Amino acid sequence: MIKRYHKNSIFQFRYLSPIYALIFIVLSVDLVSAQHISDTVKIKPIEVYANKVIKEQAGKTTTEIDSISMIKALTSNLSELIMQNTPIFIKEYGRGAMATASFRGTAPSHTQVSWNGISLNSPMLGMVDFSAIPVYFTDNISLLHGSGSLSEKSGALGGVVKLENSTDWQNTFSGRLLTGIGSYGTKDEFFQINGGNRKVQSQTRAFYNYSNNDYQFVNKFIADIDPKTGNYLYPTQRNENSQYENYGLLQELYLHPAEKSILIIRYWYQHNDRSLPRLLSNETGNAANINRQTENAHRPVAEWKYYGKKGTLSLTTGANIQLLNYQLKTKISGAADQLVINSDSRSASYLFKAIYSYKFSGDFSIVTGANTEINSVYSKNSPLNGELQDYDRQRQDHSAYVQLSKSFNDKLSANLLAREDHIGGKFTPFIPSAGIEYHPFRDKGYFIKGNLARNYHQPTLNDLYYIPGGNPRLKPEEGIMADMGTGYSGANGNMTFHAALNGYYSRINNWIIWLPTPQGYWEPYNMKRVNASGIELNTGFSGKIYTIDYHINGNYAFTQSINRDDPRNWADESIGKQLPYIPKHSSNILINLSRSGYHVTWLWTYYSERFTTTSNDKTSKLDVLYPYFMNNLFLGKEIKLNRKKLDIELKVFNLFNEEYRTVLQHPMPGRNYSLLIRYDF
Amino acid sequence: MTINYSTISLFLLTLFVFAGCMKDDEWMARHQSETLPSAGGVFIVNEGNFMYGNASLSFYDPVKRTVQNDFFYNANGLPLGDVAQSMVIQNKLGYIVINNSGKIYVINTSDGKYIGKITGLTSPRYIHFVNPDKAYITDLYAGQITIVNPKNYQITGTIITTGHASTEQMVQWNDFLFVSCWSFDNTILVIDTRTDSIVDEIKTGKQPGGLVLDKYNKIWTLCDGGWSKNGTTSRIPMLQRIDPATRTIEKSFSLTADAKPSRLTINGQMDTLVFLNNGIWKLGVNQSILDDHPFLSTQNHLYYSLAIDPNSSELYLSDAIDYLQRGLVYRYSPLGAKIDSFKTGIIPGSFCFK
Repeated sequence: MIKRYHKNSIFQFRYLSPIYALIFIVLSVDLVSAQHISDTVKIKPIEVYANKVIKEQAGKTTTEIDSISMIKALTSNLSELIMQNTPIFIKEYGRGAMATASFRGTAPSHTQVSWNGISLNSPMLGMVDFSAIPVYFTDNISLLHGSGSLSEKSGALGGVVKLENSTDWQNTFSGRLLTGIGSYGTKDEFFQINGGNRKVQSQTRAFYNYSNNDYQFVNKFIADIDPKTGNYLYPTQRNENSQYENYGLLQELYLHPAEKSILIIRYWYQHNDRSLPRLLSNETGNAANINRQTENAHRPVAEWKYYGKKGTLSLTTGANIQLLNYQLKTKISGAADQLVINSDSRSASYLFKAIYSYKFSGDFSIVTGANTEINSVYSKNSPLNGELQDYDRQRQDHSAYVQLSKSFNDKLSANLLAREDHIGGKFTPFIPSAGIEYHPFRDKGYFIKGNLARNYHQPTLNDLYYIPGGNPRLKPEEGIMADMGTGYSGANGNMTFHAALNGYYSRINNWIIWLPTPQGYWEPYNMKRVNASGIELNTGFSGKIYTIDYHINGNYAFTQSINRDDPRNWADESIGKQLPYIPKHSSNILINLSRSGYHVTWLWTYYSERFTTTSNDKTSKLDVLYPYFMNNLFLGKEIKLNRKKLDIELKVFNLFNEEYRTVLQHPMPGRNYSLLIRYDF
Repeated sequence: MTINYSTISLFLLTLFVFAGCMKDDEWMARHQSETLPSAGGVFIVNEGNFMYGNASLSFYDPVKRTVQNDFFYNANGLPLGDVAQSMVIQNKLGYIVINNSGKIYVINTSDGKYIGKITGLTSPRYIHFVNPDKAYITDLYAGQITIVNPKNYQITGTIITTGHASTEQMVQWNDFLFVSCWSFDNTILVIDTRTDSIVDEIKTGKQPGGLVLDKYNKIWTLCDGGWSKNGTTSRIPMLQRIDPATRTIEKSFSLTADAKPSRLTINGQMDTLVFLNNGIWKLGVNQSILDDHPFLSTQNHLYYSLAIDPNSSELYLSDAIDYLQRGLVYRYSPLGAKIDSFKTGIIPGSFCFK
């Protein structure tokens, strides 16, 4: 079977666009000249984003997750980190279960996740399960909002979540050990060992995470009738069949063979094994409808960077291979297990990417890049007594772009980007983007900016070919996006402060949605249009009052994601309404206080009500999910031992012990705890 | 800019005010429905969305032309469950089969109050009453038919359907029950209801779903043809007539390869078959070829389900619109004149006449 993936040669340059060819020409010229540059030229292995105007970023909205948020979420998965620290809405299906993102009111496949340059989005499903990405394995996380993502890649109509790793070339030997126990038989183990010198650095990380996840709850969705009184007796149940086990390894090798170049090799392996709990209204037999999802992912990446006098070249190649098995099983007494669904899929993306940036002068630069992604999916479902349903498809996606950036003076800078995609043998229309940023005052902390762009998101291979339902006639989703923002960042005494306010408006034509059909299966189709608009506010301050260090960060997002499809008929009430499951208001706050090693962190997350119908019906409580408020409190003590650190932290989740559900019928746990011991050496 | 303790305290205090609590209990209050349903009418079983658990029950009174939605929830303070599939009334009790909740709710049809339930099923689809003490329940995945006592809601036995995971609709002729095996299958099983055993099987077109008995005691089945793998396999949806006595297929009407027929039903006189295939199609049981044109065209609707009132032969047609909002039901006269339309719950999938 695997042989079939190679039937199309990886290098089919005949399809490449002229821009692609141009990049290679420009690039080779600079490479040749770079060889003559004096050896004394210092390279800049670590990009530093200081608080100054970066013309390449002009007009683009980016958010970096700060180090305190990162360390507080160390044992979490990416979904919790995103939920608690960014304006992105996370729809989670239960503790440890699948979690998908909606960035700026868009669909899960519109949020692209990149890890050191490779895409983690599955070419099969298009989306990323944020619960399957451990925070342990990343060093820096940033968000590129909306059209700000076009310099990274096309297709991210919502934005990009960028995960990166980095090293410290000064390091000789260091590491981190972490162990934790928590409610419901939860175990967290993690270690990291870094070793090397100025020429070679190695970073090894591994984690193991297990939970029985069998929290108890009173199920008010079903009831027995007391034969004497006629009253309801609500059963007390456990969240059964929901245990999860995840483990992974990340090995990184940073090589500095010559003064001007760096080679980085990374390999990330991960195994996730879990199941989605049954719904609260479920009353099947104990052994019926048990599902299990097992995923193995392999992600090798190699990156080579060359720092010329004026130009920097980076070449990346990597793969994201995801092997997924999903089984839905029913055990029947006296008969063999019924394997209702037995689906196996292998989705793989192989990436080749080149980025070259060249500085004509201090205030004018060009960045050009090209990439090829070979996506292949083999997906099959072979239920017992059923018929094999499968598809095996490949698609080559090529993309090339040029970005010109200019600072006109120390107040005004702008950039223009042009991208061209060639997807599965066809050119998509030209993708332009323009950004401008202005710092009007002497205090460069104030800024106003704007960005205008077009973007395309391609249907996934499941959208096109899934059996049954896949629709090969689907059109790509087209986004026209406008962004405006203002803000300030600065310092006063021992306090640093930042605030940013962004407004955006996106028209997304041909939005793809899967809907049921009378035949009993689902089919994707292009909606005419969705208008997504909103406001994002981010603010934070940190400093010291008397002897207390404080760090506060908050986000608020107002999101309108409005269905502008053609009505199906006179009775269609979905037009002009908010898309299901997207909250209008969402907010989160992190407050961290510390004094002589003692630290306390409070995390608060809020989502307003979410509709489950396209008509935003509120006639029944089954149509609406009530507003979500969550409070987590962490208390800890850090002990410094020479240059080593020991940190003990108690985490209290769901502080007020609220009974709640995330999606309609998945119960969530009450107050629960986790005790973590971390040792940094 | 300086910040002092009181500013921070005030800020924190403000936050705690709206730290708030989620009111999971609020909606569980039991409601009494304001008006009791009339003596006659039709229950509409709304499937709801798979894994949303938002199935619901509606009741329509054709005389007053009124509809009561969320009938089960309002009467019981409990959700109906996930994917309600079908409903049968037996002795004034309504048996509602909740497919993805693995249960059958039993309600009093006069007030909607739930009085019992049959639980522990796998993926139940339909219930058929052999007699007041015995009923069969088909299942999409279990590979067996469950035998229950509908009076005490107890499971009394099973009929293992080896080689057939899916069992679907049932129709009884004398002591023999004909059961269609729909999902990925092409078989109709014959069960002797006296012995609860499979005595024969009939091979049909691909995916036989609907089963009806006509006035000549012939059984009709609608095979939807399954789905084609992007045109690589041919599919022939067909309507077939079976003689239950000889257990042979007597007639087959082939539909076009792109047809997606569903919802086979029969009128009150049991002489005309009606089914969905984009529009509404009719076939007289004595007809020798299919009509060229549908009886009713789609008129901007993508119909999801249909039913015929056995007493009035009036036609009820449902449109799930986009499947994520409350659906629409049309009521037509037997000759195809529109009488009424009303909104129900999400995905009105089946009808049960009181």
